[in-house]
Amino acid sequence: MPQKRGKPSYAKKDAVWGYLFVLPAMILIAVWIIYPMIFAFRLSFMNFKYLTPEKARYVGFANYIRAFSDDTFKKALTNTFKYSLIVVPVQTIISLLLALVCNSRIKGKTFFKVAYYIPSITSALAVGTMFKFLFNQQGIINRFLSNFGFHSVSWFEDPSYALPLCMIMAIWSSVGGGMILFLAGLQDIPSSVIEAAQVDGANGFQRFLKIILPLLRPTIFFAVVTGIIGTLQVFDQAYIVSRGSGGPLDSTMTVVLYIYNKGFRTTNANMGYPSALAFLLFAIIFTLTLIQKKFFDKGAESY
Amino acid sequence: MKRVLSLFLALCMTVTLFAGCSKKAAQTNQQNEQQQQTEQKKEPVTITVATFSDAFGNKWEKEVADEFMKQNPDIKVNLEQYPGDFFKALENKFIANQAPDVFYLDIVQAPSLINAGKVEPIDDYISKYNYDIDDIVPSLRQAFTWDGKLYGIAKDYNMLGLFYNKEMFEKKGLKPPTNWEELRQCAKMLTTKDVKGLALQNEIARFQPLAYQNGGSMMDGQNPKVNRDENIKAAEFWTSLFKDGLAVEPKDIGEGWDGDAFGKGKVAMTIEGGWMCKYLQNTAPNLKYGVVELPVNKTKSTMAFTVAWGIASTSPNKDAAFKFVSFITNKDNQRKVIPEQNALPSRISLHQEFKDKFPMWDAFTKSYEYAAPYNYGIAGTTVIDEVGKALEKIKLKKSDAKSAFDEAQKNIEAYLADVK
Repeated sequence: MPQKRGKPSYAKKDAVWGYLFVLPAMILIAVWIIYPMIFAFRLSFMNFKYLTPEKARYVGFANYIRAFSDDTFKKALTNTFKYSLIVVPVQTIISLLLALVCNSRIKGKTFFKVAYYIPSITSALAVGTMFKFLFNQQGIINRFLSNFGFHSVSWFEDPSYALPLCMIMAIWSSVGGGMILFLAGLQDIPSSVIEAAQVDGANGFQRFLKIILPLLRPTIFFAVVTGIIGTLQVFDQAYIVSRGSGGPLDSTMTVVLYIYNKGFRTTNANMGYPSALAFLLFAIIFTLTLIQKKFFDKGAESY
Repeated sequence: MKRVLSLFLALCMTVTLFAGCSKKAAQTNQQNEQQQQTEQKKEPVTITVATFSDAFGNKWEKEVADEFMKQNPDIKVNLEQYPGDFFKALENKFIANQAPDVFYLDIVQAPSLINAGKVEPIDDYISKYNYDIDDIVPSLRQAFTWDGKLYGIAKDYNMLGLFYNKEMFEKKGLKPPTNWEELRQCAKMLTTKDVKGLALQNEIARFQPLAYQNGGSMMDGQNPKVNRDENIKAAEFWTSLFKDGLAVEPKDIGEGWDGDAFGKGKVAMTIEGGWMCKYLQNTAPNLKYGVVELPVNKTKSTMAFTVAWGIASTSPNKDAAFKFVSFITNKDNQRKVIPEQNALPSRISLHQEFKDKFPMWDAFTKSYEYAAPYNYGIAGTTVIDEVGKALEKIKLKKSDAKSAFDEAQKNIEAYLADVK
């Protein structure tokens, strides 16, 4: 009897300690993330202005309905999806290639690892300033391209080049992070499997396609999911290229930049509308992640 | 034993009771004395004054505040600078109920703050303290008037003028243009392989005077109305200058703003504000240039950019706050900012002195009577964004002028419906 009683009490004690250890983080998350989320959810059904909170009123789904007839929001959604569709595959492939290079037996791979990773830890603002030098009308990139017969284009001011510029900036600064991820994935693959394939006569390309790639599936899933979530929330690149306006002609207006502008660009704005937009974006990302999980789960656990 | 103890206790209590009485009596005596004192010398009040951070301005404000405190020992002035985005910071202070007593009231932001009831109307204080408001430029008074009440006294201001390169004009034997037709002719004559006739920033803050010169307006009472025919016709003229290759935006030729394009001699003319005089003095000291009033079409127009001193409606010391505002905007203190050549003093009576010191500003001191303020009601930022977008669309030939301005108006109205 005492033994039976003692066991759960130890477990309980463990649980208490466990809770105590996570408590600081839990409090921070509750105050700075959970509470604002609930507050924003409530706001999304209201017409609420911070300077005149006494005039706040519930408007039902009006903010959500308005989003569907908002041309700028639609444009922002299109831009964001375009951005995501190009950036995610390109950055995943490039970072996988970089990881393969760094995982091979070449000389000076530590140098390459560091060199590729530095952009990921550079602040977006510094990257933006650097890109302004590289991509302005008389910049190095235009001069370099003119050697191959391209006309010099105004990357920042031309509506058809501003979004690609954002993409280039994002890919350049994110491949390093992806590389580290894939490097860890590659080193997780047991060498016995690869050696077995080698013994069976598989060449390097076959080993990569039939052995390494399938075994990397969980890592690829992770890279793609976080990539999609990250790119759908793109803000800094668009903010830097357009100086916050989303221009030229809304060509760099992304969903998060639009939410930010609706909430903070004007004095005493209705905070309900941007909150509703934020929850629409959440719904989109959530659905996409669920679909991906279904898609990737097929046979992902086999090895 | 018990009895002795209780007796002792009772004694203690009575003694303390009496002691308490005597203390109270002493206190009331002291209070009376204090009250008598305060009748002679008031309790000092503290007012907080919030401004942008700006090296010269802050130094001047500090000097003025020190002098003010010397003259008014009963008021303590606490100067605060908000670095970064001042307007966001100010809005947050209001949201948190920590608003400063006196603050920079920006012309674009003012209507939103006023409409939210955060700014105190000062008409009563003006008559109470007999402030000489008539000396303040009328369009600056109009800029901070909302529903017939005045909410701020302009700190200083700037207007737009036409800057022209004297050497280029002399070489071609041209005179600075006075109307739209001459403007186009001059631009055409001066455009060469390396030099464009005009540098124009394609935004409402440079385009608006043309709309007004054409008999248009951006406003209908306190509401924006941007898609008037006169405005659209003016926009067509404005963008035709780009389409015909007579005008460029500074960014099209790799320059940051008009000041660089003009200073480096890449353009012969530009429409800019008075602030450019000082910029050119520092960056292009050898450039020979002149400034004239903007060319005329049906009527004269320019626009005024300004910041006022506003008083928070939540301030507990509004009288002290107004005293400070009237002190810092008086003639002596306004005179002190002239040597800096940043902006015109908002007092008409100081224009002559300014012009004598800086003859280049002659055109600006002439144009204050017909300046329209950079003010579009509570949708201010949205009007600026939408008209800018419309102008960009027309310039890039993505849309004709009429539908671009109609769409801008539609978006502005949608915004207004949302915030009202």
